[in-house]
Amino acid sequence: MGENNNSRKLISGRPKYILDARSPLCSGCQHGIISRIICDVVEELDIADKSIGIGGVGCHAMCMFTMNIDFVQALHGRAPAVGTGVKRGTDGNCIVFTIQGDGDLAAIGIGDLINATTRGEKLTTIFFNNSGYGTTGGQLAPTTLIGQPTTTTPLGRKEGEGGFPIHMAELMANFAGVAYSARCAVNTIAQYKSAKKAVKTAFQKQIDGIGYGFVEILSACPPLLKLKPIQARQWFEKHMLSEYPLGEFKNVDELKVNYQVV
Amino acid sequence: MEKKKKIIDIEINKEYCKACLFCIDSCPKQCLIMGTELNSTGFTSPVFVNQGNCTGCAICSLLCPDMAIQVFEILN
Repeated sequence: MGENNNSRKLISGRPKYILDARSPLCSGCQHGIISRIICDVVEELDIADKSIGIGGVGCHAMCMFTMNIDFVQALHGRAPAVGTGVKRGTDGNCIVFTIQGDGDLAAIGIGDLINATTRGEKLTTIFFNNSGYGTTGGQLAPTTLIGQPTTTTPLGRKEGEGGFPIHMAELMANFAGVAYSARCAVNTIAQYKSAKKAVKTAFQKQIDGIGYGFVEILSACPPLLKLKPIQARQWFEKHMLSEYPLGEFKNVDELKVNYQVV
Repeated sequence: MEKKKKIIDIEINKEYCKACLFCIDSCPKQCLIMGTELNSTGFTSPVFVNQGNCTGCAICSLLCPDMAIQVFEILN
């Protein structure tokens, strides 16, 4: 696909590292756009032959079946720990990134993530936040919005019962080992471009050996919300962006602490 | 001197499309409309109309979650 012959020139098509097969995701799931961003960045930085992805468990893990990049499947939430092993086992020669969903990263895997940053690992994490557990049937996740109905909270999340949504990008900006932390979305073309820039910066922090790069990308899950894809997009603009502000929360070229090379 | 207008062609892979309508909703020039032909999984897919209005911005291609849209510029 994407041939450049004399009669026509390709402006935009399928990325080089996306497999030529039908995507396994639901209609209107924006995880496909995020996997496109990852593949485009890997192609632009020319790191495909030395990059290893670590996938968790969840809808985001379906993205790794669409990519022509080496992947390791980790246990639920353990992707930063497995990534640490891959990074150290290859003497830091590989570019290791983890893709994690909100149930994976913000619930069961939050300890692994925080401990990976405090150890000063040079990893990149792409956090797919769709405000719920999609794969298991739409239960309450730590990132579910106040008032958002799920299968375990049919009347909507209440503060006294399920607590407040967790803001991972702001949280990650506090840790000394993190060099880059940002929150992005992929609803409009402007958000898409800033998300791509953020993912590229997070990879660059690892390539330059500065520190941990963390990018949270928001998306809407139409089956979870029981809405059509377009209505889910409108719901996202109205509710999700008011709860989760977009932007960069940390971007440093040098960490304040000095981690010894192992 | 008037700038030569680009002629754009859009190819949509009907089998990959899941009819989320993101491309139709995102197109600033309304160059895509929903078609009626079903693919093997029962989804309809968009059809490229208004070729004269298309500027080749490729927003439809970039925001397609299934990466089903290819945008070409026709040379000469």
